Amino acid sequence: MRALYTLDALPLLVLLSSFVPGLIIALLKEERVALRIALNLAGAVAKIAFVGLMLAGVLQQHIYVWRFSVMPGLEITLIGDPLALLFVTLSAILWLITTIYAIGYLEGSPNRSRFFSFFSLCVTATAGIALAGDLFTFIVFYEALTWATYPLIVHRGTEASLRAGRIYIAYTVTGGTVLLMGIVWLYSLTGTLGFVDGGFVQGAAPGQDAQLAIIFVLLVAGLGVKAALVPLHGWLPIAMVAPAPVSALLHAVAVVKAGAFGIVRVLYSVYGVEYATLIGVAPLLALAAGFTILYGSIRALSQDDLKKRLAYSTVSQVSYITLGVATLGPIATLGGLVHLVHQGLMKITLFFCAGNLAETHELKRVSELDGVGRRMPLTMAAFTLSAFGMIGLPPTAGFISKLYLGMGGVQAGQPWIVAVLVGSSILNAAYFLPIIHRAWFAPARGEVRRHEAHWLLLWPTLAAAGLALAAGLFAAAPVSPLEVARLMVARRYGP
Amino acid sequence: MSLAPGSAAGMLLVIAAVAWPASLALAWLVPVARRWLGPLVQTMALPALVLAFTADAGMELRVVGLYTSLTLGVDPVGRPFLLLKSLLWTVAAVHAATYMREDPRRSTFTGFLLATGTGNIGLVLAHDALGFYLFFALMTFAAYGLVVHTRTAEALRAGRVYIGMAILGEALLLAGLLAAAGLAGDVSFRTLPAAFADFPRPDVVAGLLLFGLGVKAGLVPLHVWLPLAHPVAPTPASALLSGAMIKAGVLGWLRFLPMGELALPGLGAAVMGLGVLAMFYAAVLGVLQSDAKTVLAYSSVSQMGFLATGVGAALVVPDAAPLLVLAVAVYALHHALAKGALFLAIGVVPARALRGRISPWLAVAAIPALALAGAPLTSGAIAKLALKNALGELPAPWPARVDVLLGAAAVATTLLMARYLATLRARAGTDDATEPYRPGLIGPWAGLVLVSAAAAAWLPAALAPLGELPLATQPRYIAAAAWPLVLGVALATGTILLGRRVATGRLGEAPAGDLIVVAEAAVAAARRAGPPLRALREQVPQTRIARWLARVAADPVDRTARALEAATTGPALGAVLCVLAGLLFMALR
Repeated sequence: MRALYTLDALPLLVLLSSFVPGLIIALLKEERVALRIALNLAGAVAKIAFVGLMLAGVLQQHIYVWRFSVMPGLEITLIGDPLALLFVTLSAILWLITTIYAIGYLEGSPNRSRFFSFFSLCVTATAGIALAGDLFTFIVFYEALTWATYPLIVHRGTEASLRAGRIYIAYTVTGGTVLLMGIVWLYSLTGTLGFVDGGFVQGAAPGQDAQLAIIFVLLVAGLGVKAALVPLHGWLPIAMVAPAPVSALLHAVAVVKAGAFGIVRVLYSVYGVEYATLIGVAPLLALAAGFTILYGSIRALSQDDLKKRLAYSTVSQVSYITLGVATLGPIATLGGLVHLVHQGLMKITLFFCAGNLAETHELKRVSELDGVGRRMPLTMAAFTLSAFGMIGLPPTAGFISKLYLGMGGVQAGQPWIVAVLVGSSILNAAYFLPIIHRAWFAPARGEVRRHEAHWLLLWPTLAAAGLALAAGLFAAAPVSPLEVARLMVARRYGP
Repeated sequence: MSLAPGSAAGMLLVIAAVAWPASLALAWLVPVARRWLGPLVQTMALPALVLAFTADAGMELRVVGLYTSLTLGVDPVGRPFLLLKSLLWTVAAVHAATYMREDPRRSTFTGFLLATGTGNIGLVLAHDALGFYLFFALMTFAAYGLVVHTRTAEALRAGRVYIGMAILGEALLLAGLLAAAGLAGDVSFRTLPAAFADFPRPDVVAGLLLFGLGVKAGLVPLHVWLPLAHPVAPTPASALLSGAMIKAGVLGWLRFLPMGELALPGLGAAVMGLGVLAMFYAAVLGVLQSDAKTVLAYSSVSQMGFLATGVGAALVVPDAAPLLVLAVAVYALHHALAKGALFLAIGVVPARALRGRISPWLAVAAIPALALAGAPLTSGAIAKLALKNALGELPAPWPARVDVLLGAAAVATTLLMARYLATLRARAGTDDATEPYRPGLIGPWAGLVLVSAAAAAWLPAALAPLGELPLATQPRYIAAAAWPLVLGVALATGTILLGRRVATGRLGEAPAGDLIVVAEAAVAAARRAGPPLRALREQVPQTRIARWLARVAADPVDRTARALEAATTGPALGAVLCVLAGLLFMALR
């Protein structure tokens, strides 16, 4: 058994478990529904199994490294450290849930082979980003993600979705180019790109503070596009025209989270928070994240389109991660890292709920949701739970994140972070509570008979909501996102 | 029987006290289980009640793995609160079973009642800040369902004000909690208060916590939601809101603040000032109300003034804290029982008017009213004496003036209670009055009146772990308690004889919610001012010079108008944030 979970090729198997089904599905005829579903589910389950093995290994202090030489001096490196595991576990679990949801959501619609093929590739790229062991490997998968996601955004082929796709590509390709420039410059300066806990640039290029600061800005600006850091967030609210499962994955695991995870890697494994603070870039980034948190929430207030309101909420919530990691000290880092998982669980639930409302009752606007709690009690219960999490009420996952972020901010001597968090809580309450009030307390217009979403849509929604609740309710349990994040922080700062 | 600290039975009881209402609430979520819940709902607070009567003190257990790990237990400060909450919840749940019998939304009511009860009982047992915050938030948000229960326009407005103020409170509390947790590193109530001494600005952290909790405790000027929300809820829920839930804020004060550890003279004096203000301000506004429930809600604000004064005093003089904590606890217990009984009477007494004479019923309803006014030999006399003795420990000007201050406040309370009885009488023949004879309504009410009336006898024993209560039976104490009552009754009688207007409920009225009504009017005025100001610009004649003038002169007008509108459409969040950020900076730099 021990040999099994210390197998260093496990990271590769994690990638292949979605890559291979993706390729096969691309070659399948549209009518092979059963085989396609079988491949999808088999891949998703296999990925969870491999990730589970890796998680067991990492929890026992094993670190995975797998290298593959592309050409002399250029290697693809996959690693499995607690940080990678935090992200890859999230993506593996949510991939399975979203696949089931997507099967139900797209039932009977055209081009499903294309959709599921790119869906699998998108997840492969995300897993690659999570497991990347250096900046080169990182950007390979990062760019792959850009292109694997495009067909999903324009899937419906309508004018609006094509426009969203164009805007998405314009933003992300520009961002990718800036990121590449930063990486090349960094490589010319340091001669190495491999991730090291606590950063490597200070040791590899001593005395180059000014250049390194500029490179940091390039890297973060490139990554900030996908992470929707204001003012680089413009594509995200437009991209919500994509089908619900795509939006869900986009906001919870794939694109937005890939950008945020990249920022975490840059701060944590390339620069080190101490050095980034020393040269003055980390505090700037924390300020930008704080601004993004408030700005996103303020914009969310006035959106009547439910998915758009959720999209602006993502702009705000994802920056919690950046804020935490850009703040000095173990507690704030812990808050940022754990929010990587918590935000994913909560936000995917909310987008599933929005999808359920739109698919089952054609309800897309907040103002149409009067009395909908009676018609779809389970969907709205899941929505309510996750919305409370976003507000940060105990015992939800969102509160755990907020607790560590706030405590960390205070301990780092940055009490303004508490003000930002509290302000964000108030704003979140201001745009989520009216929805909850409408759903449960306002008299229904027209039809009031109970009519829940199809079980293929409902069950994934409830599963995601259950995970979001469990992540907070059992935060102190031996295996929880908080504990895995704690492991990562302990590697850097000591237990 | 009493349970030894740390005994297995005690631990099980601690868990059951929270888990039983929580399980009922969870069972309620399953539609099929709902119909079996009926009689069980009335037992929701029974384990807590048994625990309150049997647990002496010093019981604590840690639930590891759950949440951030939860510490639950009973201690000397928590016990009187557990007693008052479990008593009130039991009585109200039994009362509600009959009161809500024909209500079309009774099932929804039950669900929110169970969830609110879980929060309210859980927060008494929580021995760390995060656990307290968890149950506090559960109670706050679940109680929204009780406030808006009737879904009338009035209830929805009260609900909006309630939730707005609740979020303000939660935000301040969260800010204080994060600051305290970050600075102290440990959030157990046993260590947290002592840690304040090492904070760079303990008064700011304490202030955030104090005002955050003060929203729930009805601290003036954060009380505005209370006269709106307490009356619109169904009567048993009103009794809980005003009797039991309001005390959650007070318990929070005793738990979070560095009572007896650290002197915070500025903050303490401010809270004492607000407390004294509340005693009279709320009493005056309360006398001007014509609805019995609103009168009682204002009376709660006024009574909370006594508690705020005690808490503020403990911050000024840490040495007096043990006596003050005792006084606050006994006052809270006394007030909860009396106020609960007064509210439940509204569901009982007016109905009796149809069946014959109302006077004997009014006389029974007057028993807790007398207690609240501090009549001799009642629980109120003991509570006020305890507070008076404790305030006597304060520096120079206070001991001499405490007698007069508390006496004057008791006169105000007496007037308020006279007003309550008058409105109760005036209510005969209206809405609630059509209820047929219902032992399920009279029983719990009469029981609570009895418990409240007998409180003078059993309070000293119940509070023994916290300290020894003064005996209020000496003649000089009886005289001291009697004069405000006599004066108040004389004043009330005089008013009746002069005008007979108190009795008919037309004394002249003040709008319920006082400050919030002013704020709402200001917002409405600002909204109305916007469009006409902008229209001014279009009325300018269309010559070139006039247009130029219009641009120069009207732009600022226009901008002002827009700014006014903007300030009133969104929450005044920017201001709140700036203040918060500034406070926190001061706190921690």
